[in-house]
Amino acid sequence: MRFQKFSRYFNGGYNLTFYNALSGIVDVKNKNYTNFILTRNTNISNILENEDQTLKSESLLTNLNFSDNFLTFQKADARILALSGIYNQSEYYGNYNFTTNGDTLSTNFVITLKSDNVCNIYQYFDYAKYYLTRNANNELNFYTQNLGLTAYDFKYIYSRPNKAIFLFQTLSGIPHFIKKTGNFLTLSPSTSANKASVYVNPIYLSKDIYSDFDINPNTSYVEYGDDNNIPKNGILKDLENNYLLHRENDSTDIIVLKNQLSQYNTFTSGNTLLSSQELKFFVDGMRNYTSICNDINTEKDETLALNYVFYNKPYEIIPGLNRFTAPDNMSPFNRININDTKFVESGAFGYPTPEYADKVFRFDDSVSYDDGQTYLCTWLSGSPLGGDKVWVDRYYYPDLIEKSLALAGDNTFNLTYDDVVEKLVAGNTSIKDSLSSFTVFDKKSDMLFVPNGKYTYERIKAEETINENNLVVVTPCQSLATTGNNINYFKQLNDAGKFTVKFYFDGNEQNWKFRSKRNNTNGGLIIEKIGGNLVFTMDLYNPGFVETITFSETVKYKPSQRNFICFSIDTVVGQLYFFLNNQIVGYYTFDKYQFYGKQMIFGDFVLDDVDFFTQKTLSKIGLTSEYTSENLAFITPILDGESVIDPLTVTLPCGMRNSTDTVEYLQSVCNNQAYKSNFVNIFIKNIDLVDSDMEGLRTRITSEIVDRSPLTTEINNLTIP
Amino acid sequence: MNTKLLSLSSTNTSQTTILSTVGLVDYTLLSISLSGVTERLLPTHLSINWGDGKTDFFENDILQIGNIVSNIFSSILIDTYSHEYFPSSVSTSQTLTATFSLYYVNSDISTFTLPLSITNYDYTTSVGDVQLVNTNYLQNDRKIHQLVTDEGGYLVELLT
Repeated sequence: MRFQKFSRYFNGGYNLTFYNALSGIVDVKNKNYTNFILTRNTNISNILENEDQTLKSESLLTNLNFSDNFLTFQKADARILALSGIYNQSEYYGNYNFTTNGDTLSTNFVITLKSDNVCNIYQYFDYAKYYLTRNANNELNFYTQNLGLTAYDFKYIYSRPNKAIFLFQTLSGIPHFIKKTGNFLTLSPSTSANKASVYVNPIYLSKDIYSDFDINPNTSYVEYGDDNNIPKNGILKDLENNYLLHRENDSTDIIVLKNQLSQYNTFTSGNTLLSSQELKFFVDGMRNYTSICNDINTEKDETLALNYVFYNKPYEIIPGLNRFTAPDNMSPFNRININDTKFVESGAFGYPTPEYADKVFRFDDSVSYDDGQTYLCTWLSGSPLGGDKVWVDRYYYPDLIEKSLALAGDNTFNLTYDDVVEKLVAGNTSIKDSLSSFTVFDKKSDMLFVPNGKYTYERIKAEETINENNLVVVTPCQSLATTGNNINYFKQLNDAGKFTVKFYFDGNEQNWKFRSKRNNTNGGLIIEKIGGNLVFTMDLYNPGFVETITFSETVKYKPSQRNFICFSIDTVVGQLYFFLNNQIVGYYTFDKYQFYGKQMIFGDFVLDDVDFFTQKTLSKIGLTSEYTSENLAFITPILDGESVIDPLTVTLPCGMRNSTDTVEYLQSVCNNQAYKSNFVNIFIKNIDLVDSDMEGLRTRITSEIVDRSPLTTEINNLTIP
Repeated sequence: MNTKLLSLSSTNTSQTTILSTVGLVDYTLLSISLSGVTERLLPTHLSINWGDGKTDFFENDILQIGNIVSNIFSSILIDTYSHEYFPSSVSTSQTLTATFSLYYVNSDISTFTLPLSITNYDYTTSVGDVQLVNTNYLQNDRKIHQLVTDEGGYLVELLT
């Protein structure tokens, strides 16, 4: 890599060289006989010389797509040629038509690209090249060059973003472009008046004429989706950084500094106005480096400290309760609503009820409430599986509902909330009064972060106590809990018309078969582990029609890891799903009430014909006579303590503050600060060379060390074992 | 860095235009607009020789429908092209010739020749005062002085 530079020549016969990297430098310091230069905040492509990144093809094998009709080569019909009086040269004639399949040999043509946007197109067939050529009647068809026709070169216009080409030939001084008319290729005049008709007749290619070699050295922020692929909007390119240039002797190192990281060295989104563009992420401009601190703290100090300013104070949120105090200065804001923060972009966890959603509480004694309702919390409403999320305030009526039930209540906040609705409610007494019939209600959050405000952030973690809404029920229905009898509990499940079963298993090599026992009737649930696959099967038997409806899915589990399975069915609504680890792998619907009141399963669950509550292969078994939402299935491993939600780093604007970053730099023989002496001893260890080479190394070091060590340094002794 | 914007125009597709000399002063970003160039016929591509050994080539994308401006379909007549000219490192001024060649579908070529005269700033204008920020002592009584210029804030080094 070379730095961009230019020189200026001045009267007097001298010149100065100006490096782009050294323009507008922030700081320059010297430490331990080496130079450190802190550059301005810029793209690295602005300071390094760029290489040519695009190559043009000389020829291209591609299909030619005319609005999903692909040009297809054909051999000319010899009998028709014979009728035209052509008997001997039929092998020189080709033909074409159009098909909808562009993946065949006959739909792939070679485009030869020449200079000045000239090209020709041919099909290689039966050891001959058939060129798309204009004949003496100004018609286009395929011919070999043996016929002596000459009009097989076309001028072309190429639209790279669309991989589309436009082909032209000039007839009688007027350029004509190729278009598809019916099943024929025709030449139409291209004039000033009808140029619009050209661009509506593109010929799409299957390949790009150009190839890019992406050697862009600029910083990029890349986000991976749940499927481990990078989504199209998951890349933020060309981010600006400060760079620390370290110069020692004739070489320069470039150290890219961490302008996109929070003060905790984590990626998160912030309210930095400088970066608040129309972007998906808000990681840019989190730091701005301002100076090099070269204080020597100790005699052995080899650390370089860099001062930077940041604008967003980070807070690490771990699962459970987190208490924090907002910054004493939130410039450029006086206060900020929670929906204007970047908590969601940073990874806040949403859920349809506040029970498991991320919640924020503000300690505030000054707020008074009327109408008897009490503010409960501010929570993030939305699905953990994606979609929009919004922070809402939950209110409840202590006289009507207990606090724990108020937390578990389904959200009454509509995500399509609109301020107009709020005004309508506030202005209409009857509607306002009717709201009091609700025991809980939500509204778009009014929570403000104010300077020095005290807050508690609660994030989902493993359940310490088991409640009735939790899937962690190790009892096989109520019968075991009340009577200790876990026989024939399947009847209770059938009576309820819905049930959920979940458990964990290890991704080892053991095969097993989990199923509901069955009689001669072909019905019930089977989950079978065979090799690397899991096979889910749910047979619903309909006695009215003496038929079985089968829902089945085969998926791969995670080998060598602990896996989570959840199955849930609701015959009232008519839905069931298979859930593996963190996603639904099969979701089905059937007619409402079609199977309600009928038997879903015909016996208790067994694993390899053993009561599955007594075996050791599956663990943390849960069974309820309730349907479990997809969202609850998703968080069940977290509640079970089998997985932990990631810690979260959120930020609040904090004006401009200073912090320090450090660079550990291992010094060479340049200094001997340990003893404040200018005499140094050199010991070379762990080197395996033959004696002759060892002697050469000694000579080389002793002769060159003088030129490379500081002026005041003297080599006292060189020891090579 | 200085900036300069020029606009080219033509009335027919095989026009040869020699523009009058444009003076640039020192390190300059030259931007060229072709919005006045005729689109009586569609151009196929644009070739630019900036005159300092750098060349550029641009295909004409007529499918940028969202970019159609004033009934112009050709991206190469809508876009602006920029190039950085550096002052000469061996003389106080230099003369270059930039050439813009626009190729049309009927094989016509419109050529625009742009003579450029680039003059270096003198020392006072380009450097101004310098501030010594560091000196490195080397072997054999050599020193590297690091100076920051008032103009442009460049760090420059002097070996003495």
